[in-house]
Amino acid sequence: MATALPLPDHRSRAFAALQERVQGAPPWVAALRQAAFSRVGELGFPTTRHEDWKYTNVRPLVDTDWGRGGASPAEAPITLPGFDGPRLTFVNGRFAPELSDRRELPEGVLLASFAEALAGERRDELESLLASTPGWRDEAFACLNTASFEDGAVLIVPKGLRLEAPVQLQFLSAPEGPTEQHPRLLVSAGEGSELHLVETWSGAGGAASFSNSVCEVLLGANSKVEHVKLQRETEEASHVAWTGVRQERDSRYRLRLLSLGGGLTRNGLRVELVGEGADVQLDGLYAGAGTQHVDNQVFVRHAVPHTTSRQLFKSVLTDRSHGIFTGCVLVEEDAQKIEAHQQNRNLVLSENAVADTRPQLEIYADDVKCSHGATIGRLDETALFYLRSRGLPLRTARSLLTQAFALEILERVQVPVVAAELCAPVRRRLEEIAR
Amino acid sequence: MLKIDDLRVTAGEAEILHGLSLELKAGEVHAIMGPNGSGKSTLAHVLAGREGYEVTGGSVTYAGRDLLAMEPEERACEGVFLAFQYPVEIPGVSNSYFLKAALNAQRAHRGEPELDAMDFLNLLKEKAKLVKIDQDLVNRPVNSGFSGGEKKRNEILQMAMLEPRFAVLDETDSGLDIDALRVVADGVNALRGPDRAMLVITHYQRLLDYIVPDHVHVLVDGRIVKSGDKSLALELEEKGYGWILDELRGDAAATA
Repeated sequence: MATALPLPDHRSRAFAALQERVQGAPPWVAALRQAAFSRVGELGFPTTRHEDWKYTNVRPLVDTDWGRGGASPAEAPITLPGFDGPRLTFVNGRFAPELSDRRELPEGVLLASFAEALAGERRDELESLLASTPGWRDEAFACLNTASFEDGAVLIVPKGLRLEAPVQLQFLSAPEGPTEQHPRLLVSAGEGSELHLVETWSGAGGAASFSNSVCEVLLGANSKVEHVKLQRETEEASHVAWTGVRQERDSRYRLRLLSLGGGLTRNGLRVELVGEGADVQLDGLYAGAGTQHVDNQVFVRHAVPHTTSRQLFKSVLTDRSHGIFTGCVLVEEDAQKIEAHQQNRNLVLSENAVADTRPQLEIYADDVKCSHGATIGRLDETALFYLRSRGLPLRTARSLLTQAFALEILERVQVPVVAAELCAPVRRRLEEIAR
Repeated sequence: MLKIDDLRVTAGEAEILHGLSLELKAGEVHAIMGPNGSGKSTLAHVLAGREGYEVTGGSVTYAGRDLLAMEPEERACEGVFLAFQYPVEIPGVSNSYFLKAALNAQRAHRGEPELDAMDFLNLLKEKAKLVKIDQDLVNRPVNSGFSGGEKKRNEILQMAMLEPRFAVLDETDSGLDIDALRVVADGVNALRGPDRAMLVITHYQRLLDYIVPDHVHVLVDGRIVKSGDKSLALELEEKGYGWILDELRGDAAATA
């Protein structure tokens, strides 16, 4: 094991201060925090000598003694669209009820800020759900989140219920000085239920910010979850996120991960297919300009037979940006008759932009259907000429071809209103990048 | 309308056009025939402004302007159109969106307002009928999954929509069956007029039964070696290119 960065002293002080602030929480939460904090101490933070963090240097994030920032919702910069539907808004990681839409939801649905949920009458339900997805204990940042989270969102949809309206979780950062947040998301789809979740992340900039979020998604048998995440932060923002997914029998999880902004972005994904017939599709679009850095680390584990996974990650990179895709599919010995496909396609628009791609398959079963592939290329000169020969200016032709390449991911969003609203900011960003 | 004077073009190390001269007047249709590798497609590409070629000598004047100094999109906006021998597939961009963007770019260049959605669709419907293209193809991604014939008809549809003043058809007949050939020829003939000129590049005489040219030129080894009227095309069809090559060698011997 490569040497890790030790837990800095300011983290211990911050943790002690946090324990003071959250004294009212249930004892099992306090115990979980304490265990997670000890785990961070054991693991330390990764350096670029760790295989999974080879391309991403987190030392500046670890070394900085971040503040908590103020909750100033009046000045909260809402730069991404909202949808008609239930919405929880967070400013600098803290719930902002006045910016949220708390309409009545069908009986049995719990949508609450994490602090509310832990103080509410259904708090006992959370004990078996929170931190129940595998793998987070090996991730220092996920452990740090588990130790440090103060707020976030809980969404529980009961058995058999189809929640029509997409639930939006809106995260805004408005840092006045260096500010960090550790929001925690917990989504549980009961047996046979269906839900659509939209996370949006945006920020005003003006100071450095660091968000370290963890999202757990638990899918009961036959449930369906579509999860859309759009991140459009400034280059001063560092965004480390870890999403853990656990899928029971015949469940379907769809993720559309749209990473368009942030100075440093790290998306860790871990999907566990533990019930037969479980099916996952992970789609990602990541785009970078300037010195943006986007690192996607995807891990899918087929634990049982007859499970399906598909991954399609596309990047558009220009200037000196750096995009990384590491995808690992693990097929356990007993997981026969599974299907796993993995694709990473990179469009590199400038001399100095860099795409790194590492698609990996690790297969211990012998009757499986698996494929993986990666491409790195530029805009097709012949196609550019074709468009120009009909009168389109070079800039328009570049933009058109870039969008044609990238928007395939957005087109997969199922809820029409979400797709329509997200289209404008995504197109705008692609136009800036293809300019 | 178009004057090519002693044009010399190299691609990579090799010179492909060795001093080609040709003049087209408004209202005329010229055909260029020639064996494989004679430089026909190079000429088409150079006229449209494709990268990868170096003009080492000569000039091309279009409507009084230096054509070679213009970017490909400027040429298009000034009324130059190339029907590609191998139309390019562009997944993710719908045919109708592409056509609308192209048409409006050209209108903007001429200082005309954008065509609104209704007018555009009506125009598209009318022109699609002319080249017998299904509405379905119009809405599909550009040339994506089109058959060879559909791609060629799509080129003619674009030409019909954009109404160029000077069109180059680069082996538009290759790979077409007789019915598709007729449709393509009808589309081209519908566009013939006193203000337009066309350069039809072809390997076979067959197309010229339908698009009857005013002048026929034979391109051999990067030079126009013989010009005549439409009967020259028939003669070539009958006798092949051999006799012209023989004639050339004879001339060379006589001069030596």
